[in-house]
Amino acid sequence: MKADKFIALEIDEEMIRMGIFALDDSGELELLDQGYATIEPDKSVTMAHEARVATALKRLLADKNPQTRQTILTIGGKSIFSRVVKLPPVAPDKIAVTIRHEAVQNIPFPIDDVVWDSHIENPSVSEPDVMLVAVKSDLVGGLVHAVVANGLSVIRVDVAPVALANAVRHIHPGPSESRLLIDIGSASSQAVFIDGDRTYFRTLAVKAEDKEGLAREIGRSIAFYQGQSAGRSLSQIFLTGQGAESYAKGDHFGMPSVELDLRPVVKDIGVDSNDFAVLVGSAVTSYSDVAILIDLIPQSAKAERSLSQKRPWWLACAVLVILILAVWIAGLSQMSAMAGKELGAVSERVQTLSKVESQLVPLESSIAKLEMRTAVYQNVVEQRTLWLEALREIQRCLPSGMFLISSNPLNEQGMVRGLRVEVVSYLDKEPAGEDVVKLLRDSLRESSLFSAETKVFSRPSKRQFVRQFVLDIYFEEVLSDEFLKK
Amino acid sequence: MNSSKNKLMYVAGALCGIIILLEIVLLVVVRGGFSAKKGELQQIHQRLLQLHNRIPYPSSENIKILEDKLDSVEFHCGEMFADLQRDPFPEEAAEAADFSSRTQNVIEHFRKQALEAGVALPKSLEVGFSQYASGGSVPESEFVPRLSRQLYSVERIVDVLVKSGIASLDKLTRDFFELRFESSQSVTERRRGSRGGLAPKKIRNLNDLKASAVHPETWYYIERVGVTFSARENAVWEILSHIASAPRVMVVSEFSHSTKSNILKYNPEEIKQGGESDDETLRYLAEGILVGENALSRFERIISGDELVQVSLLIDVYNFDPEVISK
Repeated sequence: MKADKFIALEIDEEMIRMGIFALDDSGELELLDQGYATIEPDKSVTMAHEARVATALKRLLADKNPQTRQTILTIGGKSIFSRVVKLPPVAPDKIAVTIRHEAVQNIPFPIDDVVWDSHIENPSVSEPDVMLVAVKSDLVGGLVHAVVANGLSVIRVDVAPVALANAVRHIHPGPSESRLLIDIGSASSQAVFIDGDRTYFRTLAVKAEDKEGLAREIGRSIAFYQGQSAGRSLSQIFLTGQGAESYAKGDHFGMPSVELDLRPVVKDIGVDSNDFAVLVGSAVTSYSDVAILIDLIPQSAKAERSLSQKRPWWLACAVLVILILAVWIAGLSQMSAMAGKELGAVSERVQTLSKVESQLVPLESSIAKLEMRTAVYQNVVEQRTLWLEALREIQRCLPSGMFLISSNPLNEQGMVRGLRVEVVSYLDKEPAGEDVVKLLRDSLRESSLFSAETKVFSRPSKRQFVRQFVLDIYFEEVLSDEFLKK
Repeated sequence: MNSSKNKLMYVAGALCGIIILLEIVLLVVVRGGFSAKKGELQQIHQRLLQLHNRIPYPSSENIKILEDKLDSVEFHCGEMFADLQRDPFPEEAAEAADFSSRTQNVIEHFRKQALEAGVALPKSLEVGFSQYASGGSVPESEFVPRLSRQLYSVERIVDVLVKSGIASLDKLTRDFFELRFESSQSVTERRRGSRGGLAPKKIRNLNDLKASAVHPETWYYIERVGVTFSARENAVWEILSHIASAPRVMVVSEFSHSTKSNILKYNPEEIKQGGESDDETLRYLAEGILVGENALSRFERIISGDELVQVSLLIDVYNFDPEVISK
C-alpha cells in the first residue's frame, strides 16, 4: 500500500521540530522519523533569524534525509496574533469584504505588513464569530524562504495554537464539550480553549518551572474564558509540551488534567508524544473533517508552489510539442519526397513535349511571317481598285439628274479618310417633296464602302433649275498605311 | 533526492528545449525545401498545361501538317510575289553621265506618243526632270538608280494616260528627293567644316536614296508620282481601270477632279427669251433646239455633264524587289 509522505515542521524562536509522516490510503497516520534542532544564536557573526533557521534546518535535514519535499510549516512562539471577532449580519457575498474590514480594524499592524487568515467558527448563525490569525510578513516570508532554500516545498503554513486545537478536535471530536489544552513550553506556554465550534487561545509568557505563575495565568485565562462564554465550565484539561508530565501529577489548575494522548491518531508513536502535539495537529489538519484550516503561506510562495506543481505539465507540453514538430517534419518530408517524385515525372513529360514543340516553333514562325507577307501583298492588290470602286459606288448612288462637279480627298493627319464632293442636281428630276441631298447621304451611308460619318458639308441656296451641295464622304477604312503618311 | 529530482527536471527541460530548437531549425529547412519543390512543381505543371493547351498540340502528326502548310503558304506567297513583279524595273547599268540623254529620249518619246494620240502637252514637258533634260546638269551618281526608277515609273504612267485617250496632260511631278538630300548634306558639310577634321555626323535619310516610302519590313518600296490631266469621263474610268490592272503595280492613293462646266451660270430664261432677241444664236437655240428640222439630237442637246474633267492623281508605283533597291 503506497503512502503519501510529508514533513511537518514546527519553528519557534529557539527550536525546529521535525516529524516525517506517512498517511496511507486508509487514513492512518504514521510517524516515520522525527528530530529537532536548536536555533543557536551565532555570537561571532550577526546573522538574521531566517539564516539561522536555514542553517539549523540544513543540519536537521542532512541528519534525517526525509526523502520527501512536501512540507507543512507551523509557526510557534509568541509572534502569533489572534483575535475572535463577531461579524455584523451581512449578505453572504459581502462576508469576505467584511472579514477583511475587521482584520484591518483589529490586527494591530498595517494590514500590508502581515500575513493573515481567518476562520468562521459558526457559519450557520446570523452574526458568526470569526477567528483572525496574523503573523508579521517578514517573519513568515523569512521562515518560508529558509525552508524553500533547503529544497523543501511548503504546502501550507499553520500556527501552533491552531494545530494544537486541531489535534484535540480530531482526537476528541465531541462537539459540545468545553476543553482546555495547555502547551507548556520551556520559555512560554499556550492556553487553547476548544468550545464546540469556537476556539480561543492565549500565549502565556511563563516558564514551565514557574508552576505558581503558570497556574495563576491559567486561572485568569479560565476566568476570562468563562466571562466570555456566559460562565460555561470546562469539562476537561489536556496537557502537552515539555512540562506536561510534571503538571499531570497534581491538581494545578483547579481541576484534574491529563496528558494529551496522540496514539489514537498516530500509529506506533514511539517517542515522547508531548513534544509532537503541534506536529500531529498540523499533520491531521490536512485530512480531518473538524480541523480549523488556517494557511498563512505568502503570496510569492503560493505562486512558486503553483509553478512547481505545474512543472511536470510544462515538461509534458514540451514533449507534446516535440512530438507535434516531429510529426510535422515527417509529414513535410513525406510530402517533399512525393513532390520530388511528381516533379521528376512531370519534367520528363514536359521535356518530351518541349522537344516536339521546338520543331513546331520555327515552322509556325515561318508560316506566320509568310502569311503576314501574303496579307500585305493582298492588301496592296486590294488597294489598287479602291478608288475605282469608291467612285463607281458614288456613281451608283447618284440618282438620275444628279452629277459630280468636283471631288477632293479628305486628308486627316496625313491619311486619306474620304473625299469631299460637290454635287449638282436638276430640280425637275427630283421627286416632289423629297430631300434628295439627304437621300443621297443616306444611300452612301448604307454602302459597305462608306462609313456612317458621311455627312452634308454645305447646302448653298438652290439656283433656278439646279441645286448644288457639298458632301463629305468617309471611307469605311483608311486607305493608306501609317508609314505612307504624307 | 529532491535536489536530484530537480536537476533531472532541469536536464529534461533543457533537453526538450534543445530538441525543440533543433526540430524548429529542421522544420524550417524541410519546409523551405518543400516550398521550393512545390513552387517548381507548380511551374512545371503550368508549363505542361501550356503545352497541353497549345494549338497545334506538339505531336509528330502536327509537325507533318505544319510542314505541309508551310509548303502551301510558301507556294501561295511565291505565286503572289511573282504576280506582283510582272513588270520589273530594267536591270540596265545607268551611268550619271548618260542620265541626261536618257531623260531627253524619254521626253521625246512622250511627245511623239502624245502627238500621235492627239494629246495636248504643256509648253515645256520635262516630267519633273527639267534640270537633267536637254543637256542639263549631271546628277550625283548615288542619285542615278532612284532617278532611273522614277523615270521608268513616269514612263509607265504616261503610257497608261496616253493609251486611255486623255485630252491633255497638264502636269506631272515626282518626289524631288535629291533636293532634300542635298540640303541635308550641306548641313553635314557645314558641321564638318566648323569642327575641322572630325567625322561628319550623318543626318541624311538614306531611305531618300531608295524610294518615296519604304515598308517597315522592306517588303516593298513606293515611288510616288503626281499627275494632272484633262479627259472625258469615260477616259477617266479607263485610266483608273488601266492603273488597277497594269503589269507594274500602281495604286491611286489620292484622287481629285473638277468638271469644266458652266452649268451653274446657265440661265434657261435667256434661252426662252432668245426668240424675241436680236441675238441670232439665241433665237436659233430658242426655236430650233427641240423641234423642227434643225432640232438637235439628244447628245447634242447635252448642255452639262459631258465636259472635260480635270483629274489630279497621286499614284504610288510599287517595287517588290528589294534587290533592285540595294543595287
